[in-house]
Amino acid sequence: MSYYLQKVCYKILNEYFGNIVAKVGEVLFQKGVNPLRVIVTYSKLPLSKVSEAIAVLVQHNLVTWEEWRPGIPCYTLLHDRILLILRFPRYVFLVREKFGEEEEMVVDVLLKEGQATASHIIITSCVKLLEASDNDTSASSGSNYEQRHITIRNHLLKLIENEFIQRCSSPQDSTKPVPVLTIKEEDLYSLPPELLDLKALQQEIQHRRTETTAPTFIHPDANVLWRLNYDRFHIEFRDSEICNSIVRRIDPLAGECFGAMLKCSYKVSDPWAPVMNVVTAADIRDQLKDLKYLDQYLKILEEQSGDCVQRVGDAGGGQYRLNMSNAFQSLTYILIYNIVQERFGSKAARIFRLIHKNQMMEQDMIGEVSMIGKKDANLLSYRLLHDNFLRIHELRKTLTPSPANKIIYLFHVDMSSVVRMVLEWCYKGMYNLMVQRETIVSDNRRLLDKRTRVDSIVENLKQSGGTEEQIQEVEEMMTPSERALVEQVVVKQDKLFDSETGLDETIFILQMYLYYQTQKA
Amino acid sequence: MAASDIASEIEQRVIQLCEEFKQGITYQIIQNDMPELKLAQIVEVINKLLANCRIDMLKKDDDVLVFKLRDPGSVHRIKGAEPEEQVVYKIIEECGTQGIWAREIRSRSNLHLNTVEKVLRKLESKKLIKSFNSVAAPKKKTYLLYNLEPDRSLTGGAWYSDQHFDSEFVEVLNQQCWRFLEQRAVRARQVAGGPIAVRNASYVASKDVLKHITELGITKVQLSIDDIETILETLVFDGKAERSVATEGSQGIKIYRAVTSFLPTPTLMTIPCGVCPLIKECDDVGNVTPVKCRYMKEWLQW
Repeated sequence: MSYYLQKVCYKILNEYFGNIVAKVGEVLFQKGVNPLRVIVTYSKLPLSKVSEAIAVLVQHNLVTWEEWRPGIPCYTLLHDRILLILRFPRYVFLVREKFGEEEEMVVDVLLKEGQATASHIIITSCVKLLEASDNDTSASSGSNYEQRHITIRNHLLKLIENEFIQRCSSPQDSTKPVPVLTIKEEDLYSLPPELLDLKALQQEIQHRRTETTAPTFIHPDANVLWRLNYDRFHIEFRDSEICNSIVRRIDPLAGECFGAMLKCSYKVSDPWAPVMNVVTAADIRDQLKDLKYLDQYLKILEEQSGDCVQRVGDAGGGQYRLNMSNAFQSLTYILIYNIVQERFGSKAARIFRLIHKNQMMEQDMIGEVSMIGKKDANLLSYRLLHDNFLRIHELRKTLTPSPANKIIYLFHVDMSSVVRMVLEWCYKGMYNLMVQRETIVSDNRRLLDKRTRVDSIVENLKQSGGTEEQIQEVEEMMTPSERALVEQVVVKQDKLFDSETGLDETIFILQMYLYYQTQKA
Repeated sequence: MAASDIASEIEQRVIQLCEEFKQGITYQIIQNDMPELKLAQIVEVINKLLANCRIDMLKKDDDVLVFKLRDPGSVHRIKGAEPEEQVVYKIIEECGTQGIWAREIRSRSNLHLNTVEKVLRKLESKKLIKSFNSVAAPKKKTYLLYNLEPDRSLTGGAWYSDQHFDSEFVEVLNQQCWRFLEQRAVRARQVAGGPIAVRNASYVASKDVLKHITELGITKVQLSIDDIETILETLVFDGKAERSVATEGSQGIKIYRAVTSFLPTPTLMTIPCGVCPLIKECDDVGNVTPVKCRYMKEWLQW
């Protein structure tokens, strides 16, 4: 879609899947929808490798296909999904906050696999949890050993019920050469109990922990795959963004009020609708049990939430509705104002806000109303114009080019194009951060490898009962200055990684804004 | 002796008549009043009064000569001055605090431009008039009587000092108003009684801000409520305050309060790429690449 988006996608695919997949992804991005043979010619890689790469991408829900010619499928890259890979840590964090560590493990496994059967998820998460608890050497884990898989199955059920995990669509008709994926609405979030054979699960878990040969158990649900429902996570993120902004602006209790209002709204309307259906104050009061000054908070929310909460009537103690697209509009405006402020200074931000509020403004008026000297005001407005935050509109009284005909220049802001520009900027920033991370790792690869080697040797010695002397000797292989350098490298990597996650938050708000804009129009 | 007595009597009489008829007297009026005088005597008296600068001679539209009493206060100043200077001085005086442009003086006095210039310089050196530059047209020299102050509209009001927009003054006022609003908001948070009470307690009327600022005494300039309101509007445009209206007595007044922003600093601005001046040139090839980026390296060193 855009130059920088393509580069970011390439980098992400490279980091998580490797070079070949990245190349195939790039070809799909650049050349659009294509069948396999064409991709092979463009990417100049052997057919087997390309088909493997595409299989990997399909497994991770990044590529879909459809019938192009009879019997020949063509593949499309879902580039938005590739960006979502950067959001995985946030998803995991959300699940841990909301549910617990064991659910976090389930989601983690599913993220790594892309799509997986329920049995596989349960088994892998059990094994991992048991290994983790073994390393902890806590005695209490032994008693839950047998029942672990049941608790994990319950966690999985809970996640499915809450729509965080959904069933993948599957080919119904096995005779067609190009499978068409369909799924029934009611199957999407249901895990019938007969699909899981608990005994087989338990046996496999035992087997994996004690023996090293590959297990040969068959589970009845080998054809039913599950994957993450990204949209559900996005709803959570969206709600928490708006809630946080309200808490910042007003009061933590107002945030609670808003949360209750959201819960009531979800019962009566589609979560992705730009304007939700009406909720009465009585419902909210029931939800909150007893909050002092609830009426006052509702009143304040109505006035101060950036047009998100609208009052539409008086029945039932007051009828309110949530307008999500307005909420994101005001959030995005404030984001853009902040960006202008950080980049150009607070005076420029004042001018920008002024022009945005008044839609169009004459050049002379800007200096007067904003109380900035005329020269400075002109300078800053031209600078904003140069960087494409402002636009100019000419008004001529007559068309003849004589000096008596004064031309009036009006400044105005075209918000959607500014938002798109900032989104591109974010992609570019993301790309630069990833490149930096890569260069840091590759520059210090020798040191990092050495450190991992030393650490693994020490581990082995400890496990096999080596003496203190041996451990000391091995540890001295790395000098203190080398250790300090490695620490620095790790710190830098973390900093870059944190910035990537934060940048992703900004991207999320902007994408939501654009989504709601397209919904309106 | 008798002649001079009579002459001084006639002078007195003429002066009295001038005082009676403030808009000026003509020959007719003098003759009507003292019919026994001969024209020659009247002329003599009038010339003497003119020479002593007691009266002014003006010409009306229909070529009738009119004599007006001159203000005794200005007599000593103009004594000994030439008639051109008197004319110019009178014109400037008439304009009061608005002041008058050099070219206008020329058109009103019908004198030659050079003469006008010479006269203006002389008057300036005698410290009878002064020039200043109005803020609307900085190139036009405007003249005013020495002891008068130029009108507010010409000097731009409180924000202009010496025809420069005093941006530091505006900045200082901005800061002070913001601090006042913030203090009020902080105090309001302690108020019990629910969020609406807190919010109402944090609102401040523009009158109160004006009082606070004048009490602070940071400036000698007298500020009006409109001035304060313009400063508070700029705070609204900075995103630091919000405005509302309330009723007081029978009218609505504007009230303001400090607000916190909805969002914290976006992450895009915490990384070097957000504030990099070379962001448009940055690419994989060339001199400006993320690998060679100096800003990134420095940022990571922290």
